[in-house]
Amino acid sequence: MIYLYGVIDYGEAFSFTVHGSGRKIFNLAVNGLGMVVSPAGAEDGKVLSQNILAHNTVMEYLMDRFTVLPVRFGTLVSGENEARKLLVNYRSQFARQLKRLHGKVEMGVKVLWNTEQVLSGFRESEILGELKLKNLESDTPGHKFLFRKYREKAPEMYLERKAVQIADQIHEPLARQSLEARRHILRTPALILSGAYLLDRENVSGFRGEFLHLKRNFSDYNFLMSGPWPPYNFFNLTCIAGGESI
Amino acid sequence: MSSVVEEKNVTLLEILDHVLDKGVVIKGEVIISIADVDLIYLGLQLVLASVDKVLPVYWDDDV
Repeated sequence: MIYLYGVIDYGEAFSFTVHGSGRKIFNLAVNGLGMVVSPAGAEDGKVLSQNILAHNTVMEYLMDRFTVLPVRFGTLVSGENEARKLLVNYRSQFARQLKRLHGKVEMGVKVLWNTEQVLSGFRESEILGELKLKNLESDTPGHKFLFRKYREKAPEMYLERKAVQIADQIHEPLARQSLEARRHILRTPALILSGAYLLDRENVSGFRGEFLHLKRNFSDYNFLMSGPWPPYNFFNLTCIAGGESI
Repeated sequence: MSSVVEEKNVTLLEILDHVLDKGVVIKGEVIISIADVDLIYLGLQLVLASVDKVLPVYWDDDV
């Protein structure tokens, strides 16, 4: 079996052994591109911490040297020929994405808050006022019922609105430093912002500076920056393997 | 020691968040395995939901 790591913009054969995992990595070069692979067993595709770290070590090596389209973790095919066929059959799509992403890296930013802390700073009347729900208050049974329902939902609605405000205030300056940006608000109740930012490699330092500036200005929240990563969030490519032989 | 463990956990979590459901997806009968990635990814969402509770110190000191 062959484990697939990624497609790179380098069409010469090379190989190396990963220190620690002992994986023997080599580049299957076809027509100016390469599919980086290693001989593997079924165990290598399991979601275990040592496999995840071994996979990432290879990705870091590749990213430092080439433009790389990472293959989803744990992808195993039967042999070298299948990997070569993929490279041949999808060459134009791979080449287009590699050209678009040449010299670019992805940075990740996550911002978390403590929802209880956010809510504790506000009285219910203020929350209802801000959500413009106070006007619903009246003596009719229907209004009373509706008002009770809104009161139950008010904290959640307030948090959602607040999260969008804060996430945008953090995301927009980071997006201005980036070529492309993706944001996900409240992916979980605590995760206000989960952002991905595509940058020219030489702009990582400026991006870090903006991140630190925002982190200081939003000191009530927890910030995490990660990267540089290969551009995981900035391309979308699904390949069907098993076509005609090359 | 705990901070080392926490740092490793954050690193692993961030790697998982990138490698599990993103990148070139290859489908077809020649695929031997793409792991039980979808199931694990659902689990990852749960871990992310609680990461602020287990890792606040490290996150504050990051960068």
